[in-house]
Amino acid sequence: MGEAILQTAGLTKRFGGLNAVDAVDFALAAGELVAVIGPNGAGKTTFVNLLSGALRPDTGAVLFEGRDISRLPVHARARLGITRSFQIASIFPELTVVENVALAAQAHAGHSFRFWREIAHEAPLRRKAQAQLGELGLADCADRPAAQLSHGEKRLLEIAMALVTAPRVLLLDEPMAGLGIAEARRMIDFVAGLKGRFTILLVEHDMEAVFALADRIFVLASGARVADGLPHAVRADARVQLAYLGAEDEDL
Amino acid sequence: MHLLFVEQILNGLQLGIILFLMAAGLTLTFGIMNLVNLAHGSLFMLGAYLGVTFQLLTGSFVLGFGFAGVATFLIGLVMERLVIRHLYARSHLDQVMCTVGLVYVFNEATRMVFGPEPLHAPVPALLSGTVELIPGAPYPAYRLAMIVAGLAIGGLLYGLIAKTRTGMLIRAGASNRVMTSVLGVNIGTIYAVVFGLGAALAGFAGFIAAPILTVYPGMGDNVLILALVVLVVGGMGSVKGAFVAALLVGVIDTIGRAYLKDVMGLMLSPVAANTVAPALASMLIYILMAVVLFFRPEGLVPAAGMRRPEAPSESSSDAPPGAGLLARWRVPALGLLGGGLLLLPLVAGLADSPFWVDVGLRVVIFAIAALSLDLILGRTGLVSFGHALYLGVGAYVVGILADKGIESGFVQWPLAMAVSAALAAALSVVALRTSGTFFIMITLAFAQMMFYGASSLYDYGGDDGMHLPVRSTFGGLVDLYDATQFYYLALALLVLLAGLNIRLARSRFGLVLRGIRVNESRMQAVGFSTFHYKLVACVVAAAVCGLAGAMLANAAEFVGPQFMDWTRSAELMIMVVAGGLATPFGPIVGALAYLGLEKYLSDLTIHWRLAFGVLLILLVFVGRGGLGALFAPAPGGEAVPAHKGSFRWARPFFRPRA
Repeated sequence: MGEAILQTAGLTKRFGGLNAVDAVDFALAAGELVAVIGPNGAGKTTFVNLLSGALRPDTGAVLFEGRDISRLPVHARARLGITRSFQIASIFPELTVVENVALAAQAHAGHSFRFWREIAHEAPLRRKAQAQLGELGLADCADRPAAQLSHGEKRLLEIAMALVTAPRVLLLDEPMAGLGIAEARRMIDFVAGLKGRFTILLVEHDMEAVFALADRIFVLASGARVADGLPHAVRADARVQLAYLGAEDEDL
Repeated sequence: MHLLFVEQILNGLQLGIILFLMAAGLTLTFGIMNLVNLAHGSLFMLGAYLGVTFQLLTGSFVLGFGFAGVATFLIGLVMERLVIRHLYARSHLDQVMCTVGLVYVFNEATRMVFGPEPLHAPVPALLSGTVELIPGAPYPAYRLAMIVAGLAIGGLLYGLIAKTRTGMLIRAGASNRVMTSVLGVNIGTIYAVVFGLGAALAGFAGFIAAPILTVYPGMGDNVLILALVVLVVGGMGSVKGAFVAALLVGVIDTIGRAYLKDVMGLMLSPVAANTVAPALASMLIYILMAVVLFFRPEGLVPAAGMRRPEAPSESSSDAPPGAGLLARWRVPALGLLGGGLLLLPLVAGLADSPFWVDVGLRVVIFAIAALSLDLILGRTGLVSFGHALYLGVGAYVVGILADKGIESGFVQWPLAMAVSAALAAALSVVALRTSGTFFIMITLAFAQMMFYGASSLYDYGGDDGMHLPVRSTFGGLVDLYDATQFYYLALALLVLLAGLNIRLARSRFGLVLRGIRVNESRMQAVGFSTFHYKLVACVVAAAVCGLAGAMLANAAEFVGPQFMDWTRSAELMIMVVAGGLATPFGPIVGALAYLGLEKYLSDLTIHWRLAFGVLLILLVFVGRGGLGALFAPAPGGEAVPAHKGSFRWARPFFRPRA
């Protein structure tokens, strides 16, 4: 694997007495797709929040291209190119689908202290958004209010909003959660199409998706790293099995 | 000096105790029910009035004391059952509007029953003497007893919460309300008891403070704002924090007023010290609050394990009942509004009622101020409760410049905007470190700080304000002494600003503000530095409001601290909400409706504020979207402005009186 683009060193986050993320060392190489798995309460979402900047670590550091970004706020990391999709679809329901994507593009197209020019006339933003929607197969519903989309479509829109910013690192937080079988297939196919073009960290419960997509699997349990390796090695790892069997089996 | 200092410390503690009793109730209702109750000051007032009346009736101080507590407890229970209970799940904006309505109702009802004259509260004979705590320094026994009584009540409260079964349930309800109710505890009863308890504490505070304060309708409002400062400094939801902060605020305020002038006299010339010290002394605790907030946004003693509650988000998909009812009259209605405003001076001339132009001018000026507030309140979703501050700043800039002989409006008006903008930049950097309820309280407290600051400008009239010596001149282009010319100038500015508002809403910047209102954390995740956009929105809004203030000073030919009174801020907020949030015409319609209704009701009865308070409460429960929603385009077209709040406005119980 190539040079690590995103790295953590001894990353720790405590909530009260609980070590939600406990001295985790992690590295994500450019172009790689790493899946982070673990039983419920393993600290996966906290880990993603530490990477995206929604939380600050208590100790340890997050490094982006070798630079310590532990104290940078969310928006600054997003502008560096670390973009996330949310576990709970987090779109702007009253805007149209294309406006949602254009708004995300706007964040990465200069400043927005422009008070006069109508956004509808900013053709480049709109074109970019349309193109992105086309890639996700959402072109047909571009002008519908985002609130009217189905659950699966909202998930795709969520990802379109992340992709339109041309992220250096894409953090996907449970993109399959709550999807039906057909929709989940569609999502897996789509993420597979992103492989190699983007550097992706995928947090997912759906093991089918994880083993179909991941170059490497990183297992968290009780906030700590249990295993980190190729999919078949992780599948055979006794510690991983213990971590999962020790907790309730909630593999869907 | 030394003995006097001890006396001042005691005075400070005594103020602190009163503030603690007020803040304890507020912090409990906030921590447990996530409710912003601005009517808490009314309970303080009711405690004073009811207790003192009972005391005079029975001749017994003790009975008065008991009655104050019992009566306010019962009033609290009724209030909770009828109104407050329905606010728990509502947005903070709804809570603010509704409890302000209650303040109007309580203050006016008190004035009706007890009359406008202050009530004299006698000190009980037993405590009317003095005590020599330190030889040579007699201190009034009653004031000492206040401190003791306050500490005793505080101790009882602690015992109740920490040791009893009820207290355990209260603590359980505070840490996890769903879990507590799942366990079979009736959470509704706990809420009612907590609210009643807070009310009784405020009632006790009002009664024991009555002999040393003036008992008059509205006496609780200033104490309420001080208690809010205590809450913010101490940390919301924390009784311990409220205690520490109340004593701190009480002592700092008292000592500042007593000694700041001497201390500053050591560094500054006596003249400068005499001018600056009183203003600074009255602003001291607000400065303390700003400093605490800047370094510890959670307060000095944050409540253990309390998450900062966010306003409940509501689905915006359900259109308000009655929305679009008059949609097909939208264009005619706007035409009527525009035509009416345009032709007003002509009509007034024909009707031989020239004062209509003055009334129209007032409407236009307030429409500009409301429009500026809507930029932050409606479009960005920031509930600012101190916007009238900039109305005052703009007015004072004009007043002070005119006093110094600079009469040109070309200098005065831009400077009014610039000073407002600069002040907004400084204050918002602190205020925007917070969100939700904290933001409401901080904007309110900042406005109050400037109110007291302005009241201490003795060279410019102090409390009373000053007459504006001469209206702004515009090099012969416009003569503000000609009512029609002034009116058209203001109207032209309103049209210009409404136009800019429409453009802004459709610009990049407007879209960012809209995104922040709907989902701020998503905006950050996508890469927007939301703080900076909110800051610019606050600064722009302040500049426009400063312009309105400059015009208001000219229209009234008067400048005074009243311009930035908290009720003024509430008025602006009501105008925006009544007219419809995040719409260019809503604030204009709202200003017209508010001032029209005020005029109509005040002609009808001197107690119009009572009716007004009731209307305000109804607005929260019945209206949504304001008057604007009635004329909103049919569903499916342009979306109805969906604010985090939820103003139902189904029935047009007051229409703009054109």
